[in-house]
Amino acid sequence: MNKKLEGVDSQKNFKKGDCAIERQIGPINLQNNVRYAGASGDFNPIHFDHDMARSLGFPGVFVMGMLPGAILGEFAKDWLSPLIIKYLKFRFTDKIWPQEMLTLGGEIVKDHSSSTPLVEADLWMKTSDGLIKIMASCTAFYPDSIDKKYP
Amino acid sequence: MTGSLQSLLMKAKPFLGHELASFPWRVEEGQITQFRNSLLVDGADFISKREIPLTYSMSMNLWGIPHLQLLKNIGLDTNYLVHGEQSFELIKPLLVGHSYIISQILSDLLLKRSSKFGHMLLLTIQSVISDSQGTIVIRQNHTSIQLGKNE
Repeated sequence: MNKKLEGVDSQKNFKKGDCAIERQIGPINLQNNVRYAGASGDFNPIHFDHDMARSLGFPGVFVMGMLPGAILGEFAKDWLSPLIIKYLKFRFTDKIWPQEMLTLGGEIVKDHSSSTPLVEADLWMKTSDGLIKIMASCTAFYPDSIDKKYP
Repeated sequence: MTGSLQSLLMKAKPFLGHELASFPWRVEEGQITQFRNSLLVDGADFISKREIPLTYSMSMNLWGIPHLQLLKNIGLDTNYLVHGEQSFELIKPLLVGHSYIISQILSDLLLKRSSKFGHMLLLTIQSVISDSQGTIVIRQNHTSIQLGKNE
């Protein structure tokens, strides 16, 4: 059992093996891609111009990786709140196509709360048939540790 | 195409470690709203309506002229660029209405072959975002992948 940390939010004390409640999103359609392109500055036409995408050998447009990546980051933020995410890393393992429904999940893989007020989590986004599209990881700190001993 | 990726690699090598011109960025409420709204795909109701999304800072990279100029100078076909690994060290939160300086460096180059995507050239831009006091608030790595054609 974890030792309770001084000042740590007593309502949430994550332990290794804790999982987020999975959420389903999507499909991410062309309009979503266009809105994200305009908001993020990623104007690669293979994400919104079917003719261009086909001319380059793709079956059609595909979702820009950092759109679902950003959503996965926000999913983690919501799940781990009130902990504060300090490190976040994404790896895109396959293209996401506009008709795909996506499931978001996460699991605490390291629990340092008995000594250091942080947890490490794996995050993923997969299709309904289990094909992983994005793998991510994050490190989140308990809020009272921020601006004290830890950065 | 491997040959042309090899040729791009040779063209990119002189830029490795090269510091790009730093540029200012003011975080505006309207940009944040657009960015946040672009993430609101069906089912993503966990996205906070108040906070700046964790990955917003990556769009500061994408809007940066020096980054685009570097890609042009190397001769990359931006229609064939997709996102590779992205990582964030979120030291302090970005604040709406505040101005920041973004410094970037081409930190890594790698030619590799993937079973899914064929030959690829990976370019990693390391960015440091500092506030008006010169305090680093975010460090991030943005890998772009130049896909090989006809692989």
